[in-house]
Amino acid sequence: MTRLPDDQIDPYESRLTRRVDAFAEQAVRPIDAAAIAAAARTGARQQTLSGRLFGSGGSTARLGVILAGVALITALGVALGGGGQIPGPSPTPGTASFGVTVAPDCAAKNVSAEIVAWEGAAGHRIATVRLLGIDARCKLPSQLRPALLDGDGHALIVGAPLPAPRASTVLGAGDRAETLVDMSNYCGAAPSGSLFLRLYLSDTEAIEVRPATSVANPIDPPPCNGPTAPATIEIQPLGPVAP
Amino acid sequence: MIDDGSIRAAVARAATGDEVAFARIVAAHHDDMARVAFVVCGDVEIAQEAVQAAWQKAWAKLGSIRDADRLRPWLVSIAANEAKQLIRSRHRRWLRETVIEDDQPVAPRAGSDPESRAAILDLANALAGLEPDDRTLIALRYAAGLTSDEIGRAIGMTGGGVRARLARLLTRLRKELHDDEIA
Repeated sequence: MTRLPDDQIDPYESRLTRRVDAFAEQAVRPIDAAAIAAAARTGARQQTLSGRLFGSGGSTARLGVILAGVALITALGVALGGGGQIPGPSPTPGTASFGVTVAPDCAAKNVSAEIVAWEGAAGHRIATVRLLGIDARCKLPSQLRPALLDGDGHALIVGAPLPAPRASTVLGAGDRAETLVDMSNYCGAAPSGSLFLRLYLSDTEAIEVRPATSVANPIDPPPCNGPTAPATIEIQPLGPVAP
Repeated sequence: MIDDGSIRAAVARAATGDEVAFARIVAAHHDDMARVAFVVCGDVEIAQEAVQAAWQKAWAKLGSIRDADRLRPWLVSIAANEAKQLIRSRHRRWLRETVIEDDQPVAPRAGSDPESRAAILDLANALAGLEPDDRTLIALRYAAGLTSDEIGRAIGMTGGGVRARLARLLTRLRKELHDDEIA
């Protein structure tokens, strides 16, 4: 319900507000904010692409198809990522502990991470990411929200919102954990600068993940397999560091 | 609902190109923008298209927002402007509606009783008789809830000018909607 501002002009305004409110409600539709944000960015940077997607007749139908695709992938990601995850092996020194634990949530300053491998496979790019606890023991959701960004900080692909955490990973100082980030089908504008990953620990905390010096392969975006399909980025639950 | 502190943080991050922060702003304001655009253009599809175009502009110019309190008025006024431009570019006019189709509920929250649906159609017809600039005023005031000063800043008028113009529109709409017959 729209709230009428304090600077009333006429008592009739409250009645008209109710009428306009009921009328305007017809325009409200379910949305995928991430897809709209991605389209806004793409459209702002590349008007020609925007014209093809949204600028001509029947555009809303096409937008609907795109949003439905993004929503489906998001739902699949949540379904696949949310259930049956982890309870990992019992902790060993220097390894994060997994499962039900009591510790404060990690802030970005409590954790560092780096890309330790960047591999290409059948139209995908797969990054191995290693996390390191910096100081106090703290708790991470076992599945983080990933994004791939270019050197200017523009998000190229953004992962699905964080599902409600079913398990958590505790990192103490020097503890390590590892995960894989799988990306595919980036068909946007050529990125600028060195790519990196961002992992969202929560709605407000994120860490930037850049390649370790040991990574030999170039950090390039996943190849475009079909511009009509959305780009994807998915992340595995955190697990112990592979031997 | 995002609190003020979070939206300020999201604006600051989005202005540096953080798409996830921008998506939080989209989630917070998209509905309001769609409602405003719809009151201006009278067509759900055009309204959605206008809002998407507005988000493109917002992405490009978000860095110009120095005060997060002005974000919402700024966004809804972009949406209103985009809706106006779209109906102009397509030479579309509001159509007066006369038929109530039983199998198409007009608005879920408006209730499905014929009386409220008829009231919505009456308003649609009254809006159809207004100029786009006047519909913009109505949308920004009664769909977005902006003050006269906020509207004035958005459309380049003084707050007093906005109030005078809205007062005239209120008189006209009250008569056309027969709300002056209600005690």
